[in-house]
Amino acid sequence: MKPLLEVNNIKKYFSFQRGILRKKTFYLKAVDDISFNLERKKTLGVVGESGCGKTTLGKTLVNLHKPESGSINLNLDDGTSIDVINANDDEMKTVRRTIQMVFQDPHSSLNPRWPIKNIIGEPIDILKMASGRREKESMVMKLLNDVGLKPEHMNRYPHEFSGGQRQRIGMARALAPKPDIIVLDEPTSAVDVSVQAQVLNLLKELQKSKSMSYLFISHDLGVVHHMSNEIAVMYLGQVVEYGDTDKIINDPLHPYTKALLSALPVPDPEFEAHKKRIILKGQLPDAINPPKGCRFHTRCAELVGEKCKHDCPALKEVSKGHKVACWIYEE
Amino acid sequence: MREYVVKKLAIAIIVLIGVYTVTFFLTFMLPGDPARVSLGQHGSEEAVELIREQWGLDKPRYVQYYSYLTHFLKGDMGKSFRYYPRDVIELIKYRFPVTAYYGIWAIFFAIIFSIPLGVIAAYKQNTIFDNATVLFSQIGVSLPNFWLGMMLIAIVAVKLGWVNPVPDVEYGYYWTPVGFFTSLKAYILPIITIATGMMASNTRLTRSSMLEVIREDYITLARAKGLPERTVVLKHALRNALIPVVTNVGMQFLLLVGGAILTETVFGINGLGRLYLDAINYRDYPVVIALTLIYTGGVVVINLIVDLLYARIDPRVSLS
Amino acid sequence: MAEKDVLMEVKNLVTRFYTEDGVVKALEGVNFNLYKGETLALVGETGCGKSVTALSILRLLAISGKTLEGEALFYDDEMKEKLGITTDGPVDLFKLTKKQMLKVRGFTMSLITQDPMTSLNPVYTVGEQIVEVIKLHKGLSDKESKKQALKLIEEVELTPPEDIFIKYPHQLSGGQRQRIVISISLAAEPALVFADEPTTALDVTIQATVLGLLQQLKEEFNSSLILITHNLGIVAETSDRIGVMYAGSVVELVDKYTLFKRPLHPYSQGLIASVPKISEKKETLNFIPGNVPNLIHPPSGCRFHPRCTYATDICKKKAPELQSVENDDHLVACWNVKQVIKDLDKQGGASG
Repeated sequence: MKPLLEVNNIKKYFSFQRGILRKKTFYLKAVDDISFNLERKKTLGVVGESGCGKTTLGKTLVNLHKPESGSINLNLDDGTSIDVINANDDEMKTVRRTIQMVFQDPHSSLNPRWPIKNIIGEPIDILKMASGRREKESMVMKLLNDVGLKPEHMNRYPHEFSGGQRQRIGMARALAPKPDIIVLDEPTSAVDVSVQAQVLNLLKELQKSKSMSYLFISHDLGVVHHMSNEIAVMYLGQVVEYGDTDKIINDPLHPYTKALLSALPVPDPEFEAHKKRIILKGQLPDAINPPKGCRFHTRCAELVGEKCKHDCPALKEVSKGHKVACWIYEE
Repeated sequence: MREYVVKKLAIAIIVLIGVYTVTFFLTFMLPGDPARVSLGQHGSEEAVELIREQWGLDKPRYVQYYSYLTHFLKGDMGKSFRYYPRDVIELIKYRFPVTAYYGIWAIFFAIIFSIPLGVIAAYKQNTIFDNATVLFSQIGVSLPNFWLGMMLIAIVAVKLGWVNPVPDVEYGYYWTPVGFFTSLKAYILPIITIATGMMASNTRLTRSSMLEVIREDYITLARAKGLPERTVVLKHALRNALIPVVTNVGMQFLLLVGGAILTETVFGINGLGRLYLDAINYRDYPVVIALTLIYTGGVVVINLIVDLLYARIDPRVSLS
Repeated sequence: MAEKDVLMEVKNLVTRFYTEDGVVKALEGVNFNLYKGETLALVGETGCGKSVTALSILRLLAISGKTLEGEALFYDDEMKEKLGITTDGPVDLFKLTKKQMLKVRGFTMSLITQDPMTSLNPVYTVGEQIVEVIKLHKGLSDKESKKQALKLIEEVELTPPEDIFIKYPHQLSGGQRQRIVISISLAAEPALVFADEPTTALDVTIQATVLGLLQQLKEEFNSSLILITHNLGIVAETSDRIGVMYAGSVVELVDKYTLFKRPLHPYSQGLIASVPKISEKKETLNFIPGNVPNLIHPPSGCRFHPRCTYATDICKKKAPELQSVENDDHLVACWNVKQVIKDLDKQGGASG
């Protein structure tokens, strides 16, 4: 069986102009040649620092951005396969229903003037899933129940809920069209630690009960590790390492992944005391004008040679289920 | 920066030509024939025709349009219809000093009182002083100019008799070094009339901008450095808070024009405002067009000055 | 810790904010002590009062805030000298005049704020902003101050210092700005630095270097550090002792190894267990039921009782005090700590 979602070589560039008299066009290569597969009922974690393109990647998958090139194929359980980028109107409807997104900020992603039954009911209306008001309301109530909120709260407004509860509302809205894939963009970065655990547990339960796949985007390796089966590490628009969670965490290969792991503060003093720290030199380069060759070479501690400065290494499989883009691992 | 100024001025020329075009066709679409208006009810048909010919009104519209344009480019604003054959430039030059005189004072007062008031009100938020300032500035922005002017005449001039309702200063005297200050009393009512609204809006803006700034982290950090409050407010907060106020003051120079029309009507001042209004009433198209162009030019120049000031106050603003 | 000289004792701090919605009971009896040269982390979630504690001690609360009760006893001779105080014993910061406080701020105590994007004044160069403190507290000439400022910029590893000196904040990256803020906070070599979420706004790799630098400079300048954060990882990495705060008071105070190995307050236990760790993989995370309370109408008694599995009647009526448990250095504010210990021992000691 083909993977649920096949993403091949997608690129998303943003162009903008600088200068007054002599306008120059610059390109921000937010997503630059990224490929991955998302398997059924699995979670792919996407991790990286600000500006690495992880949010753009998520938005491209739910069609908020149209990629410059590449292909995204959605292979449904009934055997049909949809080319997402060139989909016709009918297919697009299916895509929209199948792939949903939950946004980072539970404060700004919900319309403050709508009661939550309208917020959650909107996709039900758009996709004409209910045959009447009563059916719609009962669907909304069931969704609220699914995400651990009281169904009788459906007439309340977003500001009456706490950050964690709002994130649950966002989740209910995403669940409404019964999607197969949910793109979660930093779903817990705006909530408190103790609430984060509640939300993460809920996400895992829902994934099991509703048989969904997640693309889990986060800057927090600890959270990504907890949630994901596979992890893709991004740096300046590219995936530098991609593989099973355990392999990435326990046996990181790319110097950037190693640095990221060593920089992650672990809530365990004994672990911290023995941890070897890799300090990255310099600043994150300007994404508009990224370094030539391997994009990480300006900060890398393990340069192989001139090659790193001139040629960009491709993502290559070094062991089963573990790919890395680094000259160290090229024969 | 030079590149920026040059570019802005280049755009200004295009804007001016556009404004000229629009004003030209709009004014000539106004009902009423200037020649007829100037001769009154009893002028003969022949006399009207003669004048039309003299003023070039008999030519096709596009010929007139082109003729005015070429003259403007040479710096010639044409001759007034109403005061024919006086040059428009001459009329404007004559009227300008008085409007400039009370206008400058009005803006001066609007700035020097409003900024300290706004700063103190923000600093003493929710005290009686703050509430009073908010109340007065609320009233200030809502008072219509002409009403305020008439009230001032009725109370201060007529009832109390402190000043003359119509400023009685010899033409031009107010621009002599002594006259600049001694004429203030005579012009105080029009100055207050115009300054009140401006002052109120500057005060409100300074206050709200200051309130925003003093909540910023860098103000907390400035205090944590151990700086005395005076330094925190005057050095760290005020400069940031003034950024929006600069734009507002720039806008007020432009609002002066509207204010001048009403104020000069109420106080019987023969300034640019009156000239503008009369020119429209008498279908004195060359004057209307010239004043509109000067006004537009003023807008461009003031915007440019505001931009340059901005860049000086706020290093984040870059002009290139 | 080799020497255990106390630098500051904070006793029963009570702070309120008077807002349109009501009185926010932000701090309700905060107690802790701080040793010379140590890094004490105050850790807790939104609204627990960790930042308010710092601002209360610095006496820099917003106009709506007021510290009603409490003492902050400071044991620092240099400060007494600067203030011209000759009496014996510590100085209570809350008893100082406003003018005296100006001499204390920046000189004895300084602050590093959370967001480097907003903590520097955008209209002055970073050099001017560093020089300002040096001139103020060291009374040096313009030239000398500049020299010192350049040295500080070098100290926070920004090069070349002359170039950085004339930069405006917006010309620097977040990490660079936070280094400048750190150099400002250390300019007068203060005895105590409050760092309020100093790296929350930064990326992980930048965060690590900034924290390392802060720790290193703190030692170099012989200062104590109060590190305010919600991130338990940072706490485990950077602190010596940890004060766990919940809803306006310190509920547990102990060295970091003990806290993570054997937390005794039910809230600390819940907090530590709820963080996903890369050192172990669990299917589900433990979590604390419910939400952080509203401090306008906080729960009666122990403010944690509605979310606590150990809660008994007394918890609803009376707030427990911070008391030593098991040994003198492990302080916990919980009525049922004995039961907690019993349960821990039953499980075999370790938890979390």
